[in-house]
Amino acid sequence: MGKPSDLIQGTLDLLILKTLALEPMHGWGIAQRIGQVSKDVLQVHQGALYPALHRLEQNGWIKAKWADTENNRRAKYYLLTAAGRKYMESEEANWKRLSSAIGLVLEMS
Amino acid sequence: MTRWIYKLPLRLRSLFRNSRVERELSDELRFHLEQLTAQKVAKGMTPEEARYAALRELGGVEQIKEKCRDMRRVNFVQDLIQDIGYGLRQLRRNPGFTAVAVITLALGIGVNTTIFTFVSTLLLNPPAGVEEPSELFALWNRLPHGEPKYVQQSYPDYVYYRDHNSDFAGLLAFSSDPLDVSWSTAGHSQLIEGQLVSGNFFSVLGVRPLLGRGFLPEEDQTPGMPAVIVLSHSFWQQKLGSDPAVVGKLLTLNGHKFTVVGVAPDNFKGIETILEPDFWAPIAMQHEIHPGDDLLSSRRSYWVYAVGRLRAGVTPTQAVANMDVLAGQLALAHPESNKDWGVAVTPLTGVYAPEFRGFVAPLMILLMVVVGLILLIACANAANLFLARASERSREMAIRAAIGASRGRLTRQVLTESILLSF
Repeated sequence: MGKPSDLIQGTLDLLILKTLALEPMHGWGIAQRIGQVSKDVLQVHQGALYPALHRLEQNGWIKAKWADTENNRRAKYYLLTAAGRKYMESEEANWKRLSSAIGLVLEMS
Repeated sequence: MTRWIYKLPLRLRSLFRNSRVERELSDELRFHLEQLTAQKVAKGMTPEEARYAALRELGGVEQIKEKCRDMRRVNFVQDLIQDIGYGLRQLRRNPGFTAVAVITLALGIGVNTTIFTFVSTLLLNPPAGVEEPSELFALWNRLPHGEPKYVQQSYPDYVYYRDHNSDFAGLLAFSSDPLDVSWSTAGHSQLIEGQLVSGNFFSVLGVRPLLGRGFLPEEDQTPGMPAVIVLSHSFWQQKLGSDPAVVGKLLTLNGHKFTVVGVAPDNFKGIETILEPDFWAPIAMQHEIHPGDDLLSSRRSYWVYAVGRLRAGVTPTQAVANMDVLAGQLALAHPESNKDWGVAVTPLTGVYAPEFRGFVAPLMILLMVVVGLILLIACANAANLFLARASERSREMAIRAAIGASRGRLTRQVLTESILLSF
């Protein structure tokens, strides 16, 4: 399983990958989207976000491209790669299994 | 795993276009900062307040960058470069330690190399500059009893073998001991070393002279003539200044005038691998080069090595069998000197006396062990020095660990410093 921080890190990776599965986005956008969709529960801090993005890029699960935003600013957009998509799907399955297992244990009383 | 298609260019890019990658990281974080500021402005702050708030929220930009850099694990090479630089500075600041460590290692390595080169030349290498050295074999006399078991040839025996054998495409002879002759030049004399060789010496070995020619078989027939010599390349270079017109010149050796007919090429140093003679002269000139005994007709002076080139298809064992027959004939004809003698044939590499050959392999092994031990001692000494230093550096290591160096990083650093010393 690894250290607790590994678990959090792995979860963040999954959230990022899932966000990118819908459309390519830059770091700021990813953080915003995760916050919105989770109804402000999950606040991704930039101290965690950018190292995560760089690591995912190093591992070949996402790739980066510089492009213009709607306001004509240069930003670094990330896209999901095919390998990244596969990895995301397997991690998602793991997560679902894990969370339902935790749920079962929590409900036993 | 197709991920490497993305990973490799990325890693290479991090390695070689690092400033560009760093700039992109700055831009990326700046974009984030701007967006955050804009968000706060939209919430009602003034631009300056928004900017300060955003900066505070962003936290340590440098830490974020450092973490991102850690993610780009091309750090290995960058760390290595850093470690090398630091190691060099450390060595310079501790000249005493560096000097002692370097000297210890240098001594160990130096001794090794010397011994190894010497031994390998002595024991293993075939003579240089000859054609197909693997076909060359030495012909020995094998004594029926007593020590030494194998001796060289006498000149008459050699001639007999040369003229009556069918196994060697050519059988040559050369004097086994270096012969000192007095060379008179420009008013003073000096001793130089020569070798007496048979007329077919150069042709059997396949050595093509650099200048002039080698000897001819007929030059070896009559004692006392002709007075010709072939010079070795180093002698020609060092003592005669590489004179291009040396062929035909006369040199006075032991009071006799000899004509230079050729100069050997620079890669040929004679057959005996350690000693390079200054010149070669035909055996027929024995009395002039090496006055004293009559070595040309005595069957009891064993002073020439006989070396031959085996014909294609003949094995050494066959040659020995055939030559033994010849030896038997010699024994019949000259029982006073050759009774019960046989022959032995050995390949021509380095020390090639048959009784020594069995020693070569164990000797090499022994030598490697000795050499290995010397190296081990040198390394142990160097290690001691390092250990002494390590206790001084515990504080430095603690600080490094506190800043965030992992154990692997620290180990790598110390390892790099050690390796640096060995250069």
